[in-house]
Amino acid sequence: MWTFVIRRVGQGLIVVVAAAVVVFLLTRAFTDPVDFVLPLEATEEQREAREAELGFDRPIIVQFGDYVEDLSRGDFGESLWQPGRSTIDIVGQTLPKTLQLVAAGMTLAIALALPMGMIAARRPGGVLDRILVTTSLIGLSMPQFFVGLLLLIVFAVQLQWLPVSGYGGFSHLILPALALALPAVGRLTMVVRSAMIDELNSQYVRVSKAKGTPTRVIFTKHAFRNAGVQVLTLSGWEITRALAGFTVVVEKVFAWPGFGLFALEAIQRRDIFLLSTIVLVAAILVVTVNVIIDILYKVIDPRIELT
Amino acid sequence: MADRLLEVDGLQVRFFTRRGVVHAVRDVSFGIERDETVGLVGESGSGKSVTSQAIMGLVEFPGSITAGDVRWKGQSLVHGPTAAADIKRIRGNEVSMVFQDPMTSLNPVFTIGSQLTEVTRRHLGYSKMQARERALELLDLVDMSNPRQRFKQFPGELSGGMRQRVLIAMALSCEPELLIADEPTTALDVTIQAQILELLAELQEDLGLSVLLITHDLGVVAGTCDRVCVMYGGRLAEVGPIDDVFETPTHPYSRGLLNSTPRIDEVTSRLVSIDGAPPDLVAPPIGCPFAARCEACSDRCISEMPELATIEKGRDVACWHPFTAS
Repeated sequence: MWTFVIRRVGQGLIVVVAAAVVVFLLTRAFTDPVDFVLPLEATEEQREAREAELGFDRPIIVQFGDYVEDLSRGDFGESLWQPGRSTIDIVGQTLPKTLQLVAAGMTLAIALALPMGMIAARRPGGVLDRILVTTSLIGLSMPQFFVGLLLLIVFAVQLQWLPVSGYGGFSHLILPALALALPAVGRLTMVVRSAMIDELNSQYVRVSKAKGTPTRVIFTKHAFRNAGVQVLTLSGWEITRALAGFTVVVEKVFAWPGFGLFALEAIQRRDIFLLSTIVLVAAILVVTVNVIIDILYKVIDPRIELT
Repeated sequence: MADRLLEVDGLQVRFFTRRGVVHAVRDVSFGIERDETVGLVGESGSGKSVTSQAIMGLVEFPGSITAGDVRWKGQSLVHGPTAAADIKRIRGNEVSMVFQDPMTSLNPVFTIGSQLTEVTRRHLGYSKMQARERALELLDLVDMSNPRQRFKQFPGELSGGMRQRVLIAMALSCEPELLIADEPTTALDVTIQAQILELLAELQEDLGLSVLLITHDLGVVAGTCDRVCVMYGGRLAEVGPIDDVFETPTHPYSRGLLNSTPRIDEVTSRLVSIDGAPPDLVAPPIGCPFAARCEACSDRCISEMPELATIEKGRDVACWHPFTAS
């Protein structure tokens, strides 16, 4: 078990390093950062002076050495959009808000999808199953921005129960978390349902019934633990997609000051350093989630091996 | 009747599928006495497994018991207000079951120990320690080497024969009075088959178990059973003491089955097969289900269903033209 954990974490670190290299190449080698730093009408002399000042005139390999050294010191560079502020400082301020949103959204999604999927699997083809499947399909067919706008119009504008947008207390969290959760609920419910149906039809479930194990225990212990691998796979996917993708949309719709919104800002304001830091941090988050999911696999199912 | 444990009376099981109603079991009646081993024999689709599921209350949607009764020590497990609760209490406890496929019968993500202790903890209210002791004892009883190590292992770490032993141990946890073995050796290698059958026979003797052995293998029945019930097309064809049925089979189907089984004590140049296929149970024939494949078939066989009738003491046959000992 521990060798599994250590090996998996090691693999994760390699991916993070690779991500750092890619980010470095994209910002220094494939584009000229000075293009972003200086106004378009800058003269050639101004450009060269600035290039020398920032050290971009040196060989790429030397630049890479500096970059790695800076990263290892925790220096992610300075923002162009907000001069004088380090990019990691901006990420440090916005990331917790994104994490809060993702945690709320995904907890909600999983908390809703597990019972829904399990109830639907009790009697496939039954009335309850059909209702749940239809609702799930509607949920997963709606794009995030559409769900977001719908929720805004209904609950914030028409009913005025909740604030329209911005960061604040619990009431501000509800709508963006829901917008993040609903499509995920649809997808997760479908997977929980089909995985549970598969498991409930398996031979070991029959044997458990013949042993006199109560249906409740068969559902929540025997079948669910086996269905868990599939559910975990999709949950992991949902979490990483939310962290590195959907939050951008949801944060934009609800003006939630997380790092997704700042990623958009960074693009609009041509702040390549802030953007690369955000990308790097997002990569680290995605890798972390994946490592945790893989370790959980091993906990649920002893048969799983690293390949 | 001495001490009748189980009584199946006019059992009828139907599956309501899209194709139509499948008449899987039609009017099947038999009993099992204490200490008796009964073989239930038939080819695939004859209704023998469904019969065993019906006894255990495990017939699943879209199937259900549409008529008849299963009585455990005189008490109905199908009808009456307490039947549903009774069967839950009885199965795994007084009546337990061993299934066909040991490879998929254990939950792959729980240890052998956890699956074994589950039964005694539930039915007998054992503490964790008591259940563990009992589980180790059971693993030893079914001749598993190194029970302590097995206890901690996952099913994937054991071979098919070992898993079947674990399943038998599991079925024996609560000292059942009746063990239903549904083709317990079909999925195993021949050498392992013999070991498992031997184990079952030993346990039957040592623990005073009654056994209902379901199989399509007449050789298995011959070696282990006291009585045999031959099923065909969802109905009983012939019931009788094992030696009599083997010596003088009266139903043409039993004869066919015996002729198609290789025997060591008779020199036959060729094995005889039974031509044709079993009847479609969605639209079963109105007459004898075997009529279409029977050599002795007459008009009456096609138009009228033969009921199970006693031809001599302890021997019943459902046939208009039974072979008689001559």
